[in-house]
Amino acid sequence: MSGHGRHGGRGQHGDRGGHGDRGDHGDHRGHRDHGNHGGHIGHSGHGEADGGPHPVPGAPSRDGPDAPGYGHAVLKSLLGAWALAACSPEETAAVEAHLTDCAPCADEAVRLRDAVGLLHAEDSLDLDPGLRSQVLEGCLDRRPARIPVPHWAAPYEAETARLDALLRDMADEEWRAPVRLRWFDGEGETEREATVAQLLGHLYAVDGAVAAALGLPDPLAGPGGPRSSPERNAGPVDLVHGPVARTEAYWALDTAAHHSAEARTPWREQSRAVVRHVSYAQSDATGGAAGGARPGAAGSRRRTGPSGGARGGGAVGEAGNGTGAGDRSALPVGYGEFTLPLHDALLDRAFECWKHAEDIADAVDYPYGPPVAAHLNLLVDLAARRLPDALAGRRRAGLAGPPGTLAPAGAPGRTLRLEVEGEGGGDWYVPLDSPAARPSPDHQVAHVALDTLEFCQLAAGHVPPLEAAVGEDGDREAIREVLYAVASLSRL
Amino acid sequence: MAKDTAPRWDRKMQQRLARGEEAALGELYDRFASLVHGLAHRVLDDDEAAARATREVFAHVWENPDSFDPREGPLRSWIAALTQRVATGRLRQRQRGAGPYSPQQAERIEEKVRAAQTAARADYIVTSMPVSLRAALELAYFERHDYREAAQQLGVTEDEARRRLRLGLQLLSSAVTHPAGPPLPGGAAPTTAHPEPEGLPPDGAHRDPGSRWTAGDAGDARSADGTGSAGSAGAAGNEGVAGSAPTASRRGAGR
Repeated sequence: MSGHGRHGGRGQHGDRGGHGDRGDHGDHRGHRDHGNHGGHIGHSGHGEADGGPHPVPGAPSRDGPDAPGYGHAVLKSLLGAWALAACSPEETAAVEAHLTDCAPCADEAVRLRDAVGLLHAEDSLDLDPGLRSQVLEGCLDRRPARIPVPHWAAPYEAETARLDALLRDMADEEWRAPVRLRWFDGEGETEREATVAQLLGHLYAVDGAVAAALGLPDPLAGPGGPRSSPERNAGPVDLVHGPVARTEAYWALDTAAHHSAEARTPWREQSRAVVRHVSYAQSDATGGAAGGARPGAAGSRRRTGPSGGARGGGAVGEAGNGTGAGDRSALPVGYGEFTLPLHDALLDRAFECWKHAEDIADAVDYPYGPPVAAHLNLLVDLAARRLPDALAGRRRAGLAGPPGTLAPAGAPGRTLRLEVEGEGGGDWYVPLDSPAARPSPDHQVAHVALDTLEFCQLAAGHVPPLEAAVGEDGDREAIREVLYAVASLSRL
Repeated sequence: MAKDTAPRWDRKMQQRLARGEEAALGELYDRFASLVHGLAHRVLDDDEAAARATREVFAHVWENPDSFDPREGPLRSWIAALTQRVATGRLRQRQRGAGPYSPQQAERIEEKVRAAQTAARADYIVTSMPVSLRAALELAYFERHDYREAAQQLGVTEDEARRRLRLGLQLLSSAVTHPAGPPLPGGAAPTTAHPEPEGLPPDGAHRDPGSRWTAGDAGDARSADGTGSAGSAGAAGNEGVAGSAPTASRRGAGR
């Protein structure tokens, strides 16, 4: 029963008040059991309207002149609803009074009440989110996958699963809960309101750019989509470009499903389809072996070195995926003004999924932790690798000062050492003058140190660049520009 | 919910696991982890132990996807039965490790095993009951609608909504009081037809939960039902259950 989780996890968290209700009923039952035999409540004398098999005089209780009389048959038929606390207060009172007089109904009431207890038996504890990776790793140790999830898709696979588990437990009204979306638009903080369901629609629409690049159905090109004409829907083309445009186009469709739990299914199916697709594509391309680098394991090895070095992209894609003809890890995915190779696009989507899952969890007052360290490391690595381009973009937009020196491409230039501390962290050397310049520890002019999660908050635009908790040393202007560049990676 | 037990989903999942598709393993976990962990926790009453049992169950499924036979019943039930074998095996192992156990300890163990069996039966009943009943329970319990709202959403009369809620709970209550038929198809079979997961105790005496659920074993029914099972309470319950009980038995009997 898909709803099993709804009570388990949530009820424990205590934000729904429901369990108290149910518990109360348990207590009532206790009382009833006692009162069952001796008990008599001084109200009686109402007719058995139905002449059921157990004509218990005085069954209806508390029947003032205003309350309708309930016959035995009706009261009996209410037992299920009563056990589920799904009756009106009058009916509840009538049933409970009846139970003091009618042994068969009292017996059944006890049994049905116990049965309600079994409804949430499955999931009375929140699952430790870390268990998933432990279980999967344990499995893969014993039998390696023949069609592995490429390690660059592993964070996306894990984060979508984690968000899905949160969504599974959400009540209808929570889907309409308001979420405040915050990002850094280049100069300052920006925000926008949406509902939980709309936010998921945003993830769905932007993930759709990846799906479209892979030749999977584009949510914006489907029936009812803004570009639904068949000829335009034919190819694997990203028809609406850019996260913002895609989101606006999707929100403009504004169907009922955008405001309810129905938003979950298409998003989940698409994210699963993407993971499956890249798994098969990579194992076809690499003969099923090279892509077999295990998620996490590969990532953590890659970054534990003292100076992984940001080389302006490609680090993830180059490693472990071979160069088979069908290798699609470098397939460009359109982001409007720029493209990302598929392997980076999926890391980007994993980051977005995590950060928006946090937004959702905040909105419904539920705890939500960070990704596992190995995945976190890949996400930080992507942000660090994108910094040189982000800096250049800010210069072009007049938001950052000119480069200090104009170094020829490939020559070592001024370098900032970015030290990200804590789980998933590492060291990155960021070229300051041009994306084409080679970062070099010998040309280091500044050193910035900050915590992994703080770095991610900054990259999500949730912390203003100058308020981030940062340890710094060296060229203040360079540091300032890099922190702004980190924040400018954020968007709707 | 209906999708949860769809045989086609089960077969496809089995094929994908057999193919060695890691993404399928993730989907399997997402669908069944809370079932497995919940049942294991019920028996072992310890987070770490339940987590270890969960790892073992998924590893067994991942390594032996072919030992599931879709004709025997839903994958979910097979996994529930497997979980119980693993969890009770670990419980008994733990107790043996602690030295010879007293009759009271033995009774406590059996109690936990029974509670887990009840939970597994309940899970099976819920997932295999008619969709109309499940939908009514879902609306009333999980979505907290009263029966009138449930009636409206289901497009049925209020009488019918009351009937469905009562009948659904009656079916469910049979998990406690009427261990009729082996509610977990394949619950008994894996011990013979399928390779044992590692870590199970070698003695067969304790490890066949299936036998407790057969119709012939009425002992549990009486003790769980307490007094008066043959009396009027039975009459009230049977009115509702009679029509649907065969559903549960039929599935089990397919083996």
